[in-house]
Amino acid sequence: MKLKKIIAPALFLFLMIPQTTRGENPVFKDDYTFDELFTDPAILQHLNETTYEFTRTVFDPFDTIDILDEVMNIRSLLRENLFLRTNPLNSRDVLDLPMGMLDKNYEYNNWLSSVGVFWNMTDRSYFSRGCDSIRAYLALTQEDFLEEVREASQKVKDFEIAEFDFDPADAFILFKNGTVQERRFGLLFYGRKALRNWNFSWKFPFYYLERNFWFTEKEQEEIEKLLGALDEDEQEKFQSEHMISDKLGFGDLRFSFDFPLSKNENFSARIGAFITVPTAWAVAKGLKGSKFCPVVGNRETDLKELINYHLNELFTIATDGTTTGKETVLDSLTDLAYMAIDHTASHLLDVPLGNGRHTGFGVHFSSRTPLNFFIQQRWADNIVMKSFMSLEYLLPATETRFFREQIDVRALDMLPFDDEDKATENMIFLEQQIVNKLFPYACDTTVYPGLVFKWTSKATYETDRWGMHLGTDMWVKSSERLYDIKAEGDLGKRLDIYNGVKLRGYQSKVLGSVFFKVHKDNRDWTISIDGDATLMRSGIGGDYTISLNLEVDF
Amino acid sequence: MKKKGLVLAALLVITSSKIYCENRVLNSPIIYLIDGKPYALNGHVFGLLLQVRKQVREIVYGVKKQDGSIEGPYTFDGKRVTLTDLVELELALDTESEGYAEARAKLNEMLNTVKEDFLEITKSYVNSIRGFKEQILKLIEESCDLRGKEECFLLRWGEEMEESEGETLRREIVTLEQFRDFCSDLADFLEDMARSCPEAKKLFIKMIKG
Repeated sequence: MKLKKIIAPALFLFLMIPQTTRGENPVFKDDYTFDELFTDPAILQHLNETTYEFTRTVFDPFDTIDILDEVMNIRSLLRENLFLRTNPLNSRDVLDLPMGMLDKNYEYNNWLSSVGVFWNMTDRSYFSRGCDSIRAYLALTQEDFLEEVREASQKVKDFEIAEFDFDPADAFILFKNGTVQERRFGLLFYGRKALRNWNFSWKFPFYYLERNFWFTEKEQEEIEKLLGALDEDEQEKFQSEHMISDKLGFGDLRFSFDFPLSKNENFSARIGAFITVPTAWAVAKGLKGSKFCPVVGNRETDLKELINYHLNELFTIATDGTTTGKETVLDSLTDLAYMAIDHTASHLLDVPLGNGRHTGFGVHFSSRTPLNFFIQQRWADNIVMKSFMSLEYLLPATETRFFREQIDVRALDMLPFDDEDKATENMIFLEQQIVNKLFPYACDTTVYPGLVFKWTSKATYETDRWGMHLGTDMWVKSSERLYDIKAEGDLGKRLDIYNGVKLRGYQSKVLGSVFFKVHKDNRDWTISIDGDATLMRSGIGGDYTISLNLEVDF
Repeated sequence: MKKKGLVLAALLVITSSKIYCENRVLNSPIIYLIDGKPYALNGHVFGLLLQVRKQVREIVYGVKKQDGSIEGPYTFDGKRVTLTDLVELELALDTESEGYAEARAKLNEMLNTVKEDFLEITKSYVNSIRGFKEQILKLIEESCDLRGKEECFLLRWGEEMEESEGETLRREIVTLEQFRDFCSDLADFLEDMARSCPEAKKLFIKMIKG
């Protein structure tokens, strides 16, 4: 029994020790040439008497940093920004589009009630003041960034770490002309009540809002040629899950009133005020596409929090020699890429209905002048020059805004990567830097949107039965200010706020409308087709709108 | 004088070709990735590499005894033989002779035994390196290139070491001569690899010295 107690642990130890040396220990020299390694009796004796067992490769943080820093030159890569900007894209509130303006001649002019079906489409959103491609947002054409990507990928290729038969920098360039499209389709309800000389009006939309990333067919073909094509079902699934965001619901509600400022035969003017109430509320989200939420919030995040693995764990799994291990790593990296796309989608695509919960106060001024005041011709009798101007101040509100971190190149260069004691800390830092590159921080921020100025002027030809408008529309939005950015710790000091501010916007449109009137049962019914298209723009994409409106005057 | 010159030139050619032949160093950047790295070719794996090379060479050429004689690791027809001896017997077989089928069967039986021994010897090494399969395959290609062996079974073995668990080797190597060539190529590759990894060598020496 006693013997068993001794033999069992001894046997266990014998089996567990990977190198088991038996017999007399050979005497080794301090160094050997390679030839001696194959012939020296002491070495040969050692090899005869030692059992080298298989030991699983385990990467510790120090090894991981060694690979990332020395082999893949991660420091140089991290010095470059992937995100050049993080500002939200400008888009006009549905209430600010030049439709539903109730500016015809109304016989009863007591109650006016209207509904319009509208379609508004922005083909290419603006990412910066003058660029409608995502290259203004991501460093897809930045030579320094591409050079670092090229160098890193060449090393990955040289070391046979991953197989790809293309230059990843070329793949980046293929995406450079990608853009964001916006579609809005819905109903605009509007009405007016006259009380003596005062008019009280309101309008609110109920609409479907969709935004998506977009590449032309030619660009898609080139991307597929380089990276491989998905089959139709996979493509549809990918688009729905990562490229499209949509929602259906109510927009903001606008109340306004006005009263006459001056009225004579040749000129009439009204002045008034309005309030925009942030009633926007989505009834449904992710109908055709998806609902996106920020993946990374307002604090530093490492890889383990996103994909359940630290870098050293990924390396260990990748080299465990099994197909499953490699698949696990590939799946994790694919998940990370999808998360990065979804995170970007959460601030470029998943935008709220309405103006972002900002209450607005404004004043407006409208005027009418018959054309025959200027041109004494018969044909000018039915033409009236109309003008509408408004200036709105939007009150501050909290929005989730995205910011990239300013890169501290000096701190990056000074990191003690050769300090084994700080290996875990350094690896986590590197992970955070990688995450920062792909996922700008999402922080609750107090946004002061500033002022919105709008000026619509048009010539209206109107008879008892029909009429038409032709005119121009201008929209200007001041640049916003951001305060009270809620970021954890001292992160707030390192955020690049300048490139996260929504741009000043300017848009000039041409608009037109044809309408027909019907008198029935003490009511005047007007049906109209309105349209507008963008002529000039800055900081906002060019859009067009078509609407079919029905108005009843009683 | 002329004769002396010729002799010297010949010696020089022989010596330099010998150096060229024995000191093949792999230049792939992969060496930088694995040489002396704790997660790849560390002292332990270097020892394993030397051990596998030695054991594979012992299968092919036999074990050198203390008295200087060579002893084969296998017994065939009552004699100790090496794989090289078995290949000679195989090549000497007369396909027309009466006893051919029986002799062939006996040699095939030996071939299977040697194969299984080989798989056992290389099991730990294969397990240790299969996480770096792509990198090792690249090094095998370079080694074969340096030795002018563009088509050899070693390349197939490198490609399939992960999945096949020896099945390809069992199935596709059907003669002792093929197997000897493969073993010899593997031992050469392991030697080239060892010579290319000075950092791993240092770690190995440090490790064995305790």
